[in-house]
Amino acid sequence: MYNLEKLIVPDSHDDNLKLNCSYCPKCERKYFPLKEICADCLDSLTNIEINSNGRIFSYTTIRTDSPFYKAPYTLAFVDLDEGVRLLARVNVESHQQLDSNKRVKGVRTPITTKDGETINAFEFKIIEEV
Amino acid sequence: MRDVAVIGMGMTPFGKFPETPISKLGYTAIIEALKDSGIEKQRIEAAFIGSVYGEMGIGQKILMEIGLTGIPVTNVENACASGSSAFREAWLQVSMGAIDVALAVGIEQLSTSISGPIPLNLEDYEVSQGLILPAQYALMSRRYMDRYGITEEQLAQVSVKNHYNGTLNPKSQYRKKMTLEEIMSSRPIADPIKLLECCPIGDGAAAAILVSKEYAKKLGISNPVCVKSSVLMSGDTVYEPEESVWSQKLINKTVSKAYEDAGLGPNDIDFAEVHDAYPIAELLAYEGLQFCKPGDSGKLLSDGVTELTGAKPVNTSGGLLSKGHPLAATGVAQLYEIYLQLHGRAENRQIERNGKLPLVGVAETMGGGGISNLSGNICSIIILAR
Ligand SMILES: [Zn+2]
Repeated sequence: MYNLEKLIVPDSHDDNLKLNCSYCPKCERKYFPLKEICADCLDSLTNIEINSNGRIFSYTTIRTDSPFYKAPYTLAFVDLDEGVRLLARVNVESHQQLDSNKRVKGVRTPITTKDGETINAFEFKIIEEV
Repeated sequence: MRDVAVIGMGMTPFGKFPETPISKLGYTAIIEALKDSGIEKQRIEAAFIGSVYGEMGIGQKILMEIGLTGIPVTNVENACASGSSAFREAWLQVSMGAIDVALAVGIEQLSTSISGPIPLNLEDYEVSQGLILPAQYALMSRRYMDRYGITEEQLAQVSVKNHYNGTLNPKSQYRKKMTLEEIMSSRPIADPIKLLECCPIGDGAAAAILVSKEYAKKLGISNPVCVKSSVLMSGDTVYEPEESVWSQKLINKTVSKAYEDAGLGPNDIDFAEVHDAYPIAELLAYEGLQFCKPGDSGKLLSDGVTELTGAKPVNTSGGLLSKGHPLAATGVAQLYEIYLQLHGRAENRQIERNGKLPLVGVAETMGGGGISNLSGNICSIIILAR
């Protein structure tokens, strides 16, 4: 299993959760999840911290158990404002409705696997409009 | 490059055959192709065998059963397009003049190894977030629905159509009509995808004999089915936001190249077999093949254009949804359907327009899924014509 915890910047607060991202200074290109070399120039990548605010591109609720998790849970492609697309869980509360283009932000969350193990991961929450 | 003809094809029924040795599945399809071609097995100069989960040296294991030894045998793994890729290698070698006669096979036996969705790499980031293959297609479906106003019923209609076609194909795995209601009320898998919108796991094999057109002429075969083009393209990486959904740009690019190579356009295509692992994939294929404008695929389907009796029938075999999807066998089985249609041998599901047989068919095979940041693993487009 991919180590999801290493993608979270350890001392970042849930109000503004930051994620680790690979970056090529020469090509000004971001890569998520972490990667060793730039696919364009083949140089080694450096690590940068990016903000986790973004927008839902698409989403699905999975109704059948996956190799790691018991159903149901919701996954979404999130387009971060920092110009990164990533797939992660979304926590939709009962009074909320998920739509494409909805604003979301990352938060830390423990996720329990089918084996009963708890992993330190992150998920997205809908930003309530005031 | 020489013109290449397909002079014989064979296919086992698709279904679950856990008791059948895999080599028997393979040689059954090959013997049928040999008989269909009318040539002896000794004429085969090289063999290309596509398989995803087959064992090491699977081609040799099959070919030794029918005494085909001492020739170059190449086993090909290329996700769901493994059979298409084996066919393409055979076509290339004949086309380039290295050999005159080649055998291409696609084979898979999943019933003995897999239950449920195709297993993905557990070290992958997206898989570790909980991605399963149907979810990949569900994410495509949702975005497409929201962008173009396509409904869940329209998606399910793809499955209705293909299951109906499958009832007319004796080699199809399901051969059972499914109503819109049955599909819509089947068990949800990954919203909006339901169980009867997922292609089934199965076993099967298909085979083709390819020869140069001159060689076919020498054999006395006039007006054979010929390969107009065969293009294989790997997927693009996606790290940044973009409007395309998974595999969409890949299919569009691969089709454009295949049309260009063949000197043909969408108006020249009479019918298609496409990779409908889930309904959204068939709708994206309509657009990729330029049968309609982006966003109009749902309308194309509702208008009946892609039905058996429509102007551009798609998946007359039943497609992956009904015929089944033994991974590597799929690509060659798609060509088998096109081959039968071009010869007027598709029986109850024969395409006919004003008493005339179709002349040009295209097969689209899409491989992969479950590799983070890769939008489509591999796409194959093969155009056959008489
Ligand atoms: Zn670079």
